[in-house]
Amino acid sequence: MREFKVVGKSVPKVDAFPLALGKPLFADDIELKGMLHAKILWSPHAHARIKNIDTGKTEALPGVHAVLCYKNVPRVVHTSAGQSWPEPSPYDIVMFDNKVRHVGDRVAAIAAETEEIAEKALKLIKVEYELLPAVFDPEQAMDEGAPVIHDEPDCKYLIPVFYDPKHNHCAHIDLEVGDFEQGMKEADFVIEHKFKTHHEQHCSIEPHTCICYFDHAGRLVIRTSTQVPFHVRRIVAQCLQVPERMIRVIKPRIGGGFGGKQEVLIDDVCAMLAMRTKRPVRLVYTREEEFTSARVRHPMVMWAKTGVRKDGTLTAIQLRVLSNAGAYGPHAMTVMNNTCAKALPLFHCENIKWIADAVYTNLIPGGAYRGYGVTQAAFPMGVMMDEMAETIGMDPVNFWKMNTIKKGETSPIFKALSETGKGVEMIVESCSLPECIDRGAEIFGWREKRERFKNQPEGPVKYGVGMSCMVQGGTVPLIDMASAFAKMNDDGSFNLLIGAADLGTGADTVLAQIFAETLDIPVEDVIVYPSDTDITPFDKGAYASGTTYLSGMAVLKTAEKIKEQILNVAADMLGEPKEDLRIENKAVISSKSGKRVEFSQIVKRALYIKDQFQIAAIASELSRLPPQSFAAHFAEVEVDTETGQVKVLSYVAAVDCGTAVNPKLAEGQVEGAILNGISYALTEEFFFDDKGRVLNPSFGDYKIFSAPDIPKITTILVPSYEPTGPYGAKTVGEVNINGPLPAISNAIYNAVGTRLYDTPFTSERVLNVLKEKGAD
Amino acid sequence: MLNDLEYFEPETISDVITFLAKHGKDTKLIAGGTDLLVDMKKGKVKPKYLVNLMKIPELSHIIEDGGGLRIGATTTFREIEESKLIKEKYPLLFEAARAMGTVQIRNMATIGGNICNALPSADIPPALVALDAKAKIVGQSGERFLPLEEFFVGIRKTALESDELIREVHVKSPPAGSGTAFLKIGRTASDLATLNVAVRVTLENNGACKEVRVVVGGGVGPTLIRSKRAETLLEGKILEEPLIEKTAREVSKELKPRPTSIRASPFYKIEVSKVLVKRALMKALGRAKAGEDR
Amino acid sequence: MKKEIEFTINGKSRKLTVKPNELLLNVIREDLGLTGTKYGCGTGECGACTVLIDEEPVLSCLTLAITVDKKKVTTIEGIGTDENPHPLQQAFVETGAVQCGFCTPGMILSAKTLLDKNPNPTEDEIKRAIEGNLCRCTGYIKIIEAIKLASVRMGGRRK
Repeated sequence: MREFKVVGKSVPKVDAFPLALGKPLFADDIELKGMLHAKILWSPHAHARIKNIDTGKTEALPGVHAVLCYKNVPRVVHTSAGQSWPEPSPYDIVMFDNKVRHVGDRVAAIAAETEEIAEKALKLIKVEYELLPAVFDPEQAMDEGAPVIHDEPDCKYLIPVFYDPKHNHCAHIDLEVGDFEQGMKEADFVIEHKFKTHHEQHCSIEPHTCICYFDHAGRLVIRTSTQVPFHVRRIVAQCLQVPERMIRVIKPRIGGGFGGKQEVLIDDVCAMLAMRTKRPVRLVYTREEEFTSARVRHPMVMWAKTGVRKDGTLTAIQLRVLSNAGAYGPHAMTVMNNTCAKALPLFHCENIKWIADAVYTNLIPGGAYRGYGVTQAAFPMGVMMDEMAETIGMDPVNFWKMNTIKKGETSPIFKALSETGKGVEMIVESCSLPECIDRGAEIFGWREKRERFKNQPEGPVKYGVGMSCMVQGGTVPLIDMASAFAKMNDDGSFNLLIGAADLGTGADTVLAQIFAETLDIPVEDVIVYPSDTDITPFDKGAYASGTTYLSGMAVLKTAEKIKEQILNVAADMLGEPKEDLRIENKAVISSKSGKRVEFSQIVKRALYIKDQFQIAAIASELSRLPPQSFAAHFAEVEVDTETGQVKVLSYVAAVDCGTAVNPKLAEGQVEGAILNGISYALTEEFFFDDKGRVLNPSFGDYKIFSAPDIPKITTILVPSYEPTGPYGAKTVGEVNINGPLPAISNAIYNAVGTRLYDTPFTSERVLNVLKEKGAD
Repeated sequence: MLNDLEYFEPETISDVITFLAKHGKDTKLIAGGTDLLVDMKKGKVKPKYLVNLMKIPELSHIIEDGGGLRIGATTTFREIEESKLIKEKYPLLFEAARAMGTVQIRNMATIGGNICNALPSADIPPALVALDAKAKIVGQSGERFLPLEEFFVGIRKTALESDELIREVHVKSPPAGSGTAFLKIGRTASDLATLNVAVRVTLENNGACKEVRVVVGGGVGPTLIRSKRAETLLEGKILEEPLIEKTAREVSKELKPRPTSIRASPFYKIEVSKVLVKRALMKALGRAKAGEDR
Repeated sequence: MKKEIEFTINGKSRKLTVKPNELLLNVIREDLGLTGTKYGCGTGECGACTVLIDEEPVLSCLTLAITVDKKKVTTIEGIGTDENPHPLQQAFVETGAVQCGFCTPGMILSAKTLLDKNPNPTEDEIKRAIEGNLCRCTGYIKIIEAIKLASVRMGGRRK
C-alpha cells in the first residue's frame, strides 16, 4: 500500500472540538428576531378525502399568522425524495392535498407567535373527512378492488418507467442474466424460502429542523438539517413556484441523517409559511412526528430461490421482491432496484433472475435509509448462502469465498441495472474480500467456535456463530456529481468550499485530508466551508456512500489545479522550469537548484506583486462507476431457549473500503452501522393497529440500543486500492449495516437449529419459532 | 406544551394536606415529574395546581428502625440504588431500583411517585410487595397504612383519595433464612418490563419453606399480581426443582396480560412467566440457603 | 403567575422570572441562550437534554424551570472552554467519539458525574452511566473509549 502524509491518518474531526464544547452549530441553535413557530396538523385517518377544512377560528386566534391547507397553496406535484433531477421517484405528493393517505399525513400547517399558540390553533381547525377503505398489507395492495391510494390524475414519473397507480403499483422491474431455468437444472440442490423484513426509523437524535427567513435582499434563506442542500433548493423552488435564485439553503452541522434527511420533508412548508408571513419561521419535528410523519426503511417481502452443485458452484439465483412503499413513493423504485443492482453483484453466479415490485399502502412512506435496499436483499441472500453451504457440507467461510466476486472480475448485473435503471459495465478493480473473510474468521475464532458449539452446554442457554458477506456500491453512476472550490489565502492557507454535506460522518475532515495530501500541507491549513447553495459549488449531497469517493475526487482535482497555479508562480519566482519543481511542506522546491519558496511567499506574489490574480480553482467529478466496498461479518450469539432472548456476545467486521482516508472515522462508520444493524435485527420494530396508526412513536416504545446493550465489536480495516477513487479510497458509510440480519440469523441457527426468515428476531418471535420446531 | 397552572412549593406535609383538602381534585402532586410531565405534555392531565413535594425535608429519607425500613416518598431511585444500607440488607430493593429507567430518570423519579403512578410495568412495586411493604398514607382524616398490593387498584389507579398523599413506604426486614431475587425481561437494558418477577423465600431452620412471596409485574393484569397459589403450594414444603416448576406453571395461570401490549403477546408473557418465576425462585432459594440475604 | 427564581448556572448566579409551566430545557436554550443542551425527544428517553443539577445528570425536558430555584445547574458550556476544555471534551475529540455531536453534550455530562464520583470506573459502570444517552452514530464504542481515556488522565491529574 502507498504511504501518505495526511491520508490514512486519524486526524481529529475538524468540527469535533466545537461540538464537544456545545457550540451553537445546529439548525435550531439560532434565535431570530420575530421568529414564528410552525406546527403541522396530521391526519388521524389512514385513507380519507378531505371534504372541507374550516380554518376560520384558527385564523381568528390572536398570535396566528398563517394557516396553510390544500385550499390556499399551489398544487405542485413533486417528490419529496432528495435526488438528482429528473428524480427517479414518482411525482405523487403535493404540499397539501384534499386527500390523506396515511395516519400522520399532512393536513394543514400553522405559523404562530409561540409554539403554545400554534398548538392551540391546530385544535381549532375543523376538518371534514370522508373515510375511505385502506390497505396495509403489501401482498393485498395490487388485488382487484383494493382501494386506490393515488387516484389523482396528475401523479407520474418524469422518467420512462413502469407506473400503474390505479393498481397501487408504484414500480416494477424484472431482469434475467444468463438462464435461470438452465441454472436450476444444473443444480444438485434447490433451496427456496420466503423472507420478510420490517419497518425501521432512522432515529437521528436531532429531529428534522428547518428555519426560514429573508435576507436583506428579500431572498429566502433556508437553514435546514438536510443531507441534500442543493436538492432542497431545487424542490422548494418548485413547490413555491419561485426561481432558484430567490432561495439560499444553508446546511449547518447535522445531528445524524442515515438517509432520513435525504428528504424534503418540512422545508417546503416552513418556506411557504415564511413567504406568507414575511417573518422568520421555525419548524422542528417532535420525536413522535419522526415516527409517524417522517420516512422509514422500506419493509419487504422476498422470495429467494437458489441452486447449488455439490462442488459448491452457485448455479442460479432468483430473488422476487415486494417492497412496501407506503403512502408515497420517494425512493421506492431506487431502493427496490438496489436489491439487485447493488446487492447481487457480490455473487459468483451466471444465472440470475430478479423480479421486483413496489406497491403503495396506507402506511408511513418509505424513504432512503442507510443500506438502501441492499440491507433488505442481504438478509435472504446471506441466509440462503448459509443454508446452501450446510446442504453441501461446506464450511460457510469456504463457500462464501468460493462464491463471491474477486478483483479483476465483473458481474453481468453491473451493466444490466443501476439504482435508477440501466447500469454501467465495470470490472472490480479493488477487492480485499477474500482477506476480509480470512482475517475476520481468524480474529473472530470462527473455526474454534464452530467446533466448540457442536457440543452445546446443558441448560436453556445455547451458543452459536454465523457469518455473512456484503457489498455496497457507492454513488449512482453517470448521474451523481460533486464539485469543490478552493482559494489560497495570504498565509498559504486555503478555503475549501464544498457542496458535500457532512451529516456527522466526518466528511469535512476527510475532504480536508484529501486536499491537504494533494498540496502537502497540514490539515489545519484547510478551512472547510460546507454546503451553502449561495457559496459552495454543487454537490448531489450525502447519500449512496458517495462523499469520500466522489466529493473526494472533486476535491483532489481542485487541489491539483491549484498545485499547477502554485507551480507556475513559483517557476516565475525562481526562474526555473516548472518541471524541475515539486511541492513539499507548504513550499515549492527545485529539485535541480535546491531553492525553495514558501507558499506564503508565492501567494503574496500572486495577490500583490506581479501579474496579480487569485490562486483558486473549481473542479467537478462525475461518477463513472459504483466503487464496490465489501465486508465480512461474524456474529456470536447466546440464545435463551426458554425465553427466546437473543444476545449478541461478540461481533467482528472485516471491511474493505479501499484506503481508509481517516481510519478512526472509518471505524466509527463501521461501528455505528453495525450497532444500528444489530438493534434493527433484535429490537427495533413498528407496531400498527388495524387503523394504520403507529402504536409506539417514542424511544420508550421503539427501542434502539443504548450502551449497556452493545456486544464486543471488533473492526478490522483490510485495505485495497481503488484506482478510480481519491488515494485509493472507496466508500464506508452503508455497507456494514447489511451484515447483522443474516449473520445473526445464521448464528441463531447454529445455536438452536432453527432458521429465522422474518425480522426482527425478537424474544417472542424466536420463542415461537422454537416452540413450532419442538411441536414438529 | 404544558397547560397554564399555578405552582406551589410547600415546606411541610401539613401544608400539602391543607392544600389538598381545598383543591385536591384540581391538583397534581409533583415529585420527580418524569411521568407526570410526559402526561401533561400529551394533554392527558391538565392540573390547575401543581404542588411540588421535593422541598419538603420530612419526605425524603431512608431510615432503618425496629424491624424494617422507612423510605420517604420523595426518595429518588438513585438514592435507593446508592444506599449502602439497602444494598446490603435489602438487595431485592437495590436490584429492582436499578432496573428502572436510566441514570437521569433514577436521579429524578421517586419511590412515591412511581407507586402513585401505578404503571403495571413498574419495577420496584413487585419487590416492595415481596417484602410485605405498606404505604403510609396521610390525609385530612389522619394517617393510615395500606399493604402495597391493596394500594394498586387498576391500571394507573390507586386507593389514594384526592386529599391524600403517600408519606412513606415501610418495608419489613426479611426474616433470618430469607433469600430474594428480582428478574426482569425487557427488550433492551433500559426498557419498561415485558415481565418482571420479585421473589422472597424464607426458610425454617429445618430447611422447609416458612414463607414465600412471588410477585409478578410487567403488565400481567391491571396491577401486579401477588400469587397466593404460590404461597399455598410452597409454604411448609421442602423446596425442590419439580415443585418450583409446578408452582411456576400455576402462577402463570393467575396472570391476565392485556392483548394490546406492544411489548409482547399474552401468550409470550405467560410462557415466559413460567421460566422467570422458576428461575427467580431457584435463585432466591439458593441465596436463602447460602445466607446471602439476612 | 410568574415567579422569580435565583439559581447558579455554570458557576454564575442568575435571577430569572419564569412561568410555572416553563421547562428548564426551553429556559436554558431560549432565555439563557445556551444551546449546547438539545431537544431530542421531549419525553426523557434520549438524554440529549441532560444537564447537571447539583452535580447529578437529569433531564431538562422533564424539569420545570421553577423547581431549580436555589440549585446549581451545569450545562456543557459550563465545564470547559476553547482554551481549557474538560478532559472529557479533549478525550471525545481525540478518540473519535464525536460523530454528529448532537448527543455529545449530554453524553459528556453523564460521564462527568460518573468520573467525579468514581474516578476509575469499569467498562460496565461506564456503560450504565451513559445508558440514558442515546447515540445513533457511533455504536458507543469510541464514546466508552473516550471516557476511559479521560478517566486515566483525570486520575493521573489527581495523583
